[in-house]
Amino acid sequence: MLRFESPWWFLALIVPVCLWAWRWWRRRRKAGVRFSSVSNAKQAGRSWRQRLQWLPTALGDVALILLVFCLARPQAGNERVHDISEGIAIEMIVDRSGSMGQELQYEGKEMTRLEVVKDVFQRFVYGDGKSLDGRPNDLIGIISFARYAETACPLTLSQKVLKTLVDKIDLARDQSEDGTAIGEALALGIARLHTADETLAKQLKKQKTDYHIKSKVIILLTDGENNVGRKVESVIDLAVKCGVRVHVIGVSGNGMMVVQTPFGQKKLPVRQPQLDTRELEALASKTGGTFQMATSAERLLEIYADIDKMERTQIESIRFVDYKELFQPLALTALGLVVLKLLLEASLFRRLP
Amino acid sequence: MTPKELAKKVRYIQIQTNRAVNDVLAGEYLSAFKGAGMEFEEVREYQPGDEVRSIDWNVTARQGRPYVKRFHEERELTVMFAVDMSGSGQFGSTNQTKNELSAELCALLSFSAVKSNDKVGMLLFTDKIERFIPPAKGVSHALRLIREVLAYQPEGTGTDITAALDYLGRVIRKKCVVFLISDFQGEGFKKQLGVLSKRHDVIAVSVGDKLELSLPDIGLLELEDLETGELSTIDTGSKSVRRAYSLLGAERSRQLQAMFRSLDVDQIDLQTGDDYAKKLVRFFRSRERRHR
Repeated sequence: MLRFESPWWFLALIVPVCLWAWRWWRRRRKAGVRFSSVSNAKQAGRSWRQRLQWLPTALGDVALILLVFCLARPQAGNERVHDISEGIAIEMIVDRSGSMGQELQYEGKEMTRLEVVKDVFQRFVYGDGKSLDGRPNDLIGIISFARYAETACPLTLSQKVLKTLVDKIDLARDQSEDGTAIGEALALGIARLHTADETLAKQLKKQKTDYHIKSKVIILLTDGENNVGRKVESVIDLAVKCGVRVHVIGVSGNGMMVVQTPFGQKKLPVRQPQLDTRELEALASKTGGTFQMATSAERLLEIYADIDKMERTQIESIRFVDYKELFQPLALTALGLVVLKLLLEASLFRRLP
Repeated sequence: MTPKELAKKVRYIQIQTNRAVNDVLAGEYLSAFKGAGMEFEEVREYQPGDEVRSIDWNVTARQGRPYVKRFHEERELTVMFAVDMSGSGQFGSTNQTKNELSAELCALLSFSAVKSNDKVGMLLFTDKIERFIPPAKGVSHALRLIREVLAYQPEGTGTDITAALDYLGRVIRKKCVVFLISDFQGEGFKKQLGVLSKRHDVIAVSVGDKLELSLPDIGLLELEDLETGELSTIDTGSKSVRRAYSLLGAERSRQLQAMFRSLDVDQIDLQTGDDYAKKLVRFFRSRERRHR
């Protein structure tokens, strides 16, 4: 990562520009040996030295520009170290049932809901520089579910692995796999969060970092009704007991579904699967979370931004960034160029007067 | 140049050229330019020592004593100097510029002319006619010419030999000796020169500098044209460029020479720093031989 510590110094680039302008302006007013006639001199031909006579000047100019770059202090930040003393454990529960294969308009493209969710999710974790800042200090885990709930990624601080694991989440293609086991997934998530401290202690044993989980959050994203396994009501108490806030995002909206037929891909209008909003709302309100409906990709992004804002640790973690000053090679190059220019001007390109 | 400096300079030139005028050039000038012919002066009695050939036999027979006829040379010569004052004359690689050389040459020749009781006049020109001084006799007039040629600040910088020659042809009617002193950087004056040399005795004095013929190896050299102000860089460090340069210089002077020869115009080649008196003597001698 390259950056300039004092970019205002780039204003000094006006110096070489002025220099060029001045030289251009003065080009007819150079000193010359007064001679009776230059016509013979003009016809006598040009040597390679004459063709390269701009070289010393150019070297000087390049050196000047390099020095301005030096003044702007170019730095390469090579490592970011977080003071991870406090954070939130976030368990993301993602629906991967067949109905998530419905298409949504997302940034001008047709994408399945699941793909959209995966993308938004990555923005949520890593930040996109706009509405989302990323969550570098938080423990994040993923649970995906269809008929069965499974841990796609355990709670972890090393978020680099998240991306690959998120990419692996796929739609439930098989009928035997399909379904919406919200209750099961929630139970699994709560269990994961419940043991989060222990998991973390294990993870951090070697690093001896003092990390403490401030709060525990589940972000549940679903587009269907709980139809397999444990009932949702049965986990509400569990969540409350474990102190887990559950934010629920319901995905809805009429969409088209791409279906593989013997005649190729076909888009079929999909009957809106039922979303048990009442049940989910109860879940959210009882655990202290929020319930929001996402009807479009943009809305989904907004919801994530909301949650991102809500679930912020108050203490800004201190970042240590190791910046390496890069001016030295530049300055040395400039020095070399100036020396070369002076040498050339004094020897090969010496000119009279 | 302040008037005082100018007076000093004129005096200096007068003294400098004095020896040349009286000793080196003494007879040469006189014999190089012959008068129109011999004019009868008187008939007087023969004295021992008189040439026998000059005895006038008719008078001798009439008087019974030997008489000789006396002639004197008719010499009412006019010498015109057409001096190129263009910017290129301000160049000189030795202790004098080309213009200074022209001035000294004018001085030498006009003193010689004055000594032989000839009239001297002068035309100063650049890319236009700068100053015309009609021919007259006398040392003071010669001194005026020298002062003029030394101190004159020309208005133009270029060279227009054609216009000068045209003007000269219109202004002087009587046959005269014209010294055309220039570095001949103009072009296309051949026709006018031919016309002028038909009526007058034109002597082309080309004033040059040795650096115009070859340059020493001093690396990149920025030259400024004194006439046009144009800047040009030449790489004197390159052998091929130097060779091309001296070839061009030699070619130019060869072409000039060929042109003068084809027009039957005498030519004196002078370079700054030369001992011009010696060259003039040599020229006058060769001219005397040719015109005898």
